[in-house]
Amino acid sequence: MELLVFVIISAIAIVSALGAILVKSPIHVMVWFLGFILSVAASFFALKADLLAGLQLVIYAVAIVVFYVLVITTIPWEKVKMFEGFYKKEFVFALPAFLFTIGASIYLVISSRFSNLRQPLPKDNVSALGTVLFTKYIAPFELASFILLIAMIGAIIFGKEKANG
Amino acid sequence: MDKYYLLLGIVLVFIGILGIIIRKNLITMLVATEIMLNGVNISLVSVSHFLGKVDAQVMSIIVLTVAASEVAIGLGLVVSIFRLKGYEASEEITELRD
Amino acid sequence: MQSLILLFPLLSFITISLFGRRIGDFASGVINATAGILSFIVALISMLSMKEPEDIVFYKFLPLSNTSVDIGIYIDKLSITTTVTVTFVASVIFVYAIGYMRYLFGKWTFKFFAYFSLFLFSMLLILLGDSLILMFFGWEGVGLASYLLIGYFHEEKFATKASLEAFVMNRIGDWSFILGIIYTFWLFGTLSLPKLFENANYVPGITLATLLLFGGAVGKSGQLPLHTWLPNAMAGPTPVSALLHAATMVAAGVYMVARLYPIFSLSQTTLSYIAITGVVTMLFAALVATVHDDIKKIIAFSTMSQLAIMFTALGMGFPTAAMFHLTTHAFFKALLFLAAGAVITGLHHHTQNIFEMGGLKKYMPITFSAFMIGALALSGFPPFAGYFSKDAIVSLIMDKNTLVATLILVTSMLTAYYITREAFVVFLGEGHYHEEPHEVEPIMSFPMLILSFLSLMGGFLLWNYFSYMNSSIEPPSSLMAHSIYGIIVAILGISFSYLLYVKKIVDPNTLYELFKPIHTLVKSQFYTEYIYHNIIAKGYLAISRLIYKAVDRIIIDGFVNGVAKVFMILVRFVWEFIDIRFIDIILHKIVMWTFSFGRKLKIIQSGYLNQYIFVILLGIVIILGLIIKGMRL
Repeated sequence: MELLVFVIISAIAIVSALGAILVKSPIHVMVWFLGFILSVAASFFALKADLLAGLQLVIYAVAIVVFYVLVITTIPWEKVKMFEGFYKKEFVFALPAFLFTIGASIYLVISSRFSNLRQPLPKDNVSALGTVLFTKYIAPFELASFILLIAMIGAIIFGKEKANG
Repeated sequence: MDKYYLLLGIVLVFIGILGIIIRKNLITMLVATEIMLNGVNISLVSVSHFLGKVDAQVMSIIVLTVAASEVAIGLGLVVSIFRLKGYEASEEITELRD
Repeated sequence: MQSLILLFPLLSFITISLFGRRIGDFASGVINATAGILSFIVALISMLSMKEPEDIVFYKFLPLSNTSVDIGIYIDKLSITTTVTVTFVASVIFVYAIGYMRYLFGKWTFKFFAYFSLFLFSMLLILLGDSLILMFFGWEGVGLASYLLIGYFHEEKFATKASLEAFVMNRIGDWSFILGIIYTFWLFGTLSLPKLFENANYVPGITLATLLLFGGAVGKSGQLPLHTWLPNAMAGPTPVSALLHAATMVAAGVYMVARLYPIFSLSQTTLSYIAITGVVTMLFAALVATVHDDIKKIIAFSTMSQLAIMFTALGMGFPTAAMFHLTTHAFFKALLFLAAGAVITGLHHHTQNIFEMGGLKKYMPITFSAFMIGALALSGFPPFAGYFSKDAIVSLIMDKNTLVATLILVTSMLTAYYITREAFVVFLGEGHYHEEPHEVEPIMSFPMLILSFLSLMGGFLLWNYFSYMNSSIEPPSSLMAHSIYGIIVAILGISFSYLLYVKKIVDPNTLYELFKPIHTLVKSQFYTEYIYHNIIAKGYLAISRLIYKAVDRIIIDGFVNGVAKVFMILVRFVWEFIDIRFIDIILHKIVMWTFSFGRKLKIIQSGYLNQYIFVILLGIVIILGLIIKGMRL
């Protein structure tokens, strides 16, 4: 059962990712990207990470995809048309390396042994996550908010510059 | 089972790298970066599922946050480049200054 | 205390050299004269308080294996009496010099007084030094002072030539002297005078050593054959002529032989040679003096002649008589020079030719009497000092060798003739002057008076001197045995010149025409001056120039230029064949390769982001490969 779930989710994820990087028009890339995000969220659900799945959906599927689409559409169609698709030459060169790394990773992961530190998962993911987040990892949490602040300031500066000149 | 999810994560990362190598448009290159980050997230969550602790998921949340802010800034940069140059192709943006 | 004798002139020299410009010329002259007088006083005290000959050593200069060369003073009867004489005459002349050089004050005349002090210091080194080394130091020092003082009027070519001639001839003598010193050291193993006197025994080779030492005296005292510098040295100011070339420096040669007499007396050959040199020179100089007409040159030749008489006495074995004649000669010769200087000053340096002077007796009476006293003393007229000293020599020699004594008497006649000739021509008769000559100031006439007194009275010290010196060879009783001949000869000479130049019984001009070839021969000093100047000196210069042209220019320069040419050809060959063919091409190739290699490398740095990521992927590949390889499976 679980294996079936995994196969479906991973198939969708891989196909979506490949589609995202191989199609010609950026808008089509966004569509495939959205599919990819949804499959990732599904895999989070399958791994019992509820909060994270929800966050993924909210942040990625809503904010980031919309943001990308917004930026794509600010650019005139003619300019976009000039730079669609992908480089054939680089694709040919990179493919062997890519396949090798995939093969090596498959080999490494399959032939590896995990440790026996296995513990049962907590019942309620959200509360467990919240507890740990706000006690043990309070510092990274604050720093993350700091990063967001910086990003916000950066964005504002971008906006200001554009306005001025 | 967790092994396979980990493997999925690694494969997605490499797909993302391939995407960066081959795409022409700067925006689609950033999309490939997002694919990489998502692959990392999947790997982290699978590890968390295996260990039974939620610490890796905390890391995953932080990665998510950073990815979001990175998108904002990156796209802001791309728009700036477009404003400057009139186009947004990576093969044209090869020099630091004109 | 005795070292003060040397110290005063040395201090005077240093002071005047350093501060002369600031303290002025007159003050420098006063310092100079004071130093001389102080030295004289100390010397006199030393002489009166001396008991035994003593050797005062200041400093061990050069300690050698079994002997050592020291710096010190040797005081015995001979050295202290000579020192007293020299310092006295020097002080008198120093005072005179202040007046004589007054017309040059303001033109750095302090240099003159500095040189004078240097001279006195060196002369005292010769007299008082206790080793041959110190004597040689002083020897060289007086030579240097003589050079500086003769050439004092350094803007006149004649003076500079004369000073150089004096120095070079002195040098030739010094060369002989130093060879003599070396040989003496070789023979006796010591240079210290007391030790030399102790070890004075006959050794083979002593003749050569003493002959070499005498060579130094020949150069210093102006004897044949190193004599042409003495008349030319009159180019210096008159105080210089008076002090150096009459009373003291030229007497250093005589002093040296007398000082080293214990060694000289060991070699009869040397003594004979000294006597021969003396006899020849005295006749030569007396003959030449009879035909010259420069007021100072006549006196210079007379110095040469009188020194020769002293050398004859030394050669005959009578050192005490020679030294006594040296003492009296210092007095009256200096007096003659001072009087001549007074005449020159009184005529405002117009002329020095006696035939352009005349009748100065009524203008300069003091000078006239001084000159006459000096002239009579020189002639050997009693009771002046010269009579006593010269006739002591004649008497002593007459018993030993009649021929030499007769020759001395002939010389005395000639001496009386020429000096009174000079006196009569200058002071008697009539003279025509543009400016009226005047008597000299007291600062110059007072020294002349002192010396006149001594020339008058000094002779009476004869017996005191001889008994003081206590010489065995010269018994005081025989000193004036044959003095009658001296008186006769002097009267003959004086009357001859009186008849010729005052009464003018024969016209000097017709005599001149009659004897003209002899006159020319004698006046040019038997052509010695011509030979030395034109043949030896000029010939040497001509040979040098020839060698310069032949060897230097042609051979050496030609060789160097030839080497340069060959070198240039070699360089050009190397450049054409090696430089251009190989090196330039290789360098060019290297440059080209570097550029193309760089161009190839440039492709990596394309600026394409995609390519950079591709390279990263390649890196990941490599790392994965390494991990797999390193894993244990």
